[in-house]
Amino acid sequence: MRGRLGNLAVALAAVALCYAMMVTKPHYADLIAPIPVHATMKETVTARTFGVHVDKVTFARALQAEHFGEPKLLTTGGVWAIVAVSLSANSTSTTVGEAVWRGPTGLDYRMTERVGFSPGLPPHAVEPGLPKRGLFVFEIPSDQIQGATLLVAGRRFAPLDSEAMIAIDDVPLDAAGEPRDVVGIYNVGEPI
Amino acid sequence: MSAVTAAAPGPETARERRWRRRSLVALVLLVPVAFGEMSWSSVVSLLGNEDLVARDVAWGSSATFGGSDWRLADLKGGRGLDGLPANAVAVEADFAVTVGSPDLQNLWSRCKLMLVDADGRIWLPSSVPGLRLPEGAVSCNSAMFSGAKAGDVLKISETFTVPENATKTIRPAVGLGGERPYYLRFDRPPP
Amino acid sequence: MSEDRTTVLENSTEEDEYDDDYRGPGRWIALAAAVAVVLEADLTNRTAESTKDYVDTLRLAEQIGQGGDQPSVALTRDSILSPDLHPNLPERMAYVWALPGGADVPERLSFAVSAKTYKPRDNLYGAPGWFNPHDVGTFTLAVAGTSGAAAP
Repeated sequence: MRGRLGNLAVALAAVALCYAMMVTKPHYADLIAPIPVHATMKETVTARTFGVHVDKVTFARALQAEHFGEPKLLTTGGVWAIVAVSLSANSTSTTVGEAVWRGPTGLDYRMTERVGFSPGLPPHAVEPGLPKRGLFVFEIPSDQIQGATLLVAGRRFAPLDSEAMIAIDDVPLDAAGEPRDVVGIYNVGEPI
Repeated sequence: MSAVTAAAPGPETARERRWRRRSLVALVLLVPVAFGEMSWSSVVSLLGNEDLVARDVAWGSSATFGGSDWRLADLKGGRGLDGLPANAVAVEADFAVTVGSPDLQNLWSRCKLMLVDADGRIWLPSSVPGLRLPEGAVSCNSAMFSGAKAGDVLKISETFTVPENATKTIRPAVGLGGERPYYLRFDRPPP
Repeated sequence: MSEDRTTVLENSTEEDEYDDDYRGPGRWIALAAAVAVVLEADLTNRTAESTKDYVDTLRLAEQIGQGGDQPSVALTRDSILSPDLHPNLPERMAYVWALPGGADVPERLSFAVSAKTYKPRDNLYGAPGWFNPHDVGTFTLAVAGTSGAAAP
C-alpha cells in the first residue's frame, strides 16, 4: 500500500513539475530577443561588436538638416532629442544602425528617418582602433524625457545579439514640465 | 497487494546488476553521441560561415583558393587624406587572380576581403572619399558576376581605413564561401 | 480624425508641389498621374511603438477608372513618404491616390477605415503585433474642386 501511494506521489510530482515547466517556458520571441547590456550614462557600454558611451543629450524645437544638398527645416509636434554618442568597434569593422528612445512608461520611439543621411547620422560605420562620434535623433513628446532609456543596437532585427540599454540622466525641467534647456534650431550637419 | 517478500540474492539479481552496470557504461557513450548528432549540422554550418583557420601565403607567390589562383599584387597606404580622421591610414590591397573554375558565383559566395592584424582585429572594406580603385580593378563581388572565363586574370582591389598603430602588422586576407573555415592570409610586401 | 477634406488636384497646375518631385528612393511622392485624390487626416499613434501601419488604414471604398489602389502617404509637414508615426505624437498625413488622366471623379467619395486586432503573442514568432485587418466603417466626403478647374 505504501509502495503504491509512494509511486502515485512521485508521478503526481512529476506531472506538476512538467506542467510548471510548460507554463513558464518563455515564448519564442523572448528566447531569441536581443540580450540587454544595462548601463548608466556615465559608463561606456560594451555590446557584442561595439562599445557606446552617451556624451550629451540636447533638446531642440526644430532641426536644420540637408536633403540632397538643399537645406531643410524639420519641425515637430513634440521636441527633438539629439543624443551625441562615442562609438568604438571591439574587434571587427561593424555598423551601429539602430537606436530607440524608450520612455518612462515603456513607449518605444524609433530614431527618426526625417533627417536623411550625413556622416554624423546613422548608420554609423565604425572601424576597430578608430572610435568616432555620432548622433542619434528622436522625435518625442515632452512627457517622455524624464526616466527614459536609450537602446542602441547594430541592426533592427538581431536575435540574440546584444543591445545596449543606457538609462538617460535626469533632465532639468521647467514649471510646465518641458525641458529647461531647449535649443531653437539644432543643425545636424555641424561637426559633433 | 504485494505478497512477495524480498527474496535472497540469487542468479536473477546478479544478472540485473551486470546489465545495470552495462547500461551505465553505455550512457557514458550514448550521451556524447546523442549530443554530437544533435549539434552536427550546427557545427557544419558554423564552420561553413566563419573564417577560422588561416593559410599563409608568402609574398610574391600565389595560392589556389576557391578554384582560382590568388596572388597579392600590392599593399599601399596613404596618410592625411581628406575626410579621414587624424590617426587613420587609408590602405589599398590589390590582388591578381587567375580564374581556374569559372563557377565563381558558387565557389566565391560571400567573398570577404579583409585586413587582419597581429591582435586579431579585422577591418572590412570601407570606401575612402577621394580614393579611386586602380584602372580596371573591380571589387570581389563585381568579379563574381563579371562572367570571367577560365584563364582570365582579374584585378581585384579593396580600400580600407585602419588606425596608424595597426599598419605595422596588418595583412590582407581573403575568405570565400566554398573554402570556409579556411582563409588565405598574405604576407606583406617587403618594405 | 478631425477636419478631413478631399481635394482633387491637376498635376499640371501644381507645378511647385508635385513637379518632378521624385528625388530618391521613396522619399517624396512621384505623381506620374494627371489627377490625384488627396485625403488629409490627423492621425495619432496609440500603440506602444513607432509604426508605419497607418498606411493601410484608409482606402478608397470605390474604384475610380483604372487607378486608385494603393495610396502614397506623406507627412504634410515636409512631404516625406511614410515616415514612422510615433506614440502620442499626432501628425497630419496626406493620402494621395494617383489616377490616370481623364478619370471621372464623382462629387462625393467614400473611404473605408481598416482596423487590426492586437495579439500579445502571434502564431509564428510568439511576438506581439497587430493582425487580421478588417473594415470597421466607411465615411463619405464631398470632393473639393472639380477635375476641370485649377487646384486651390
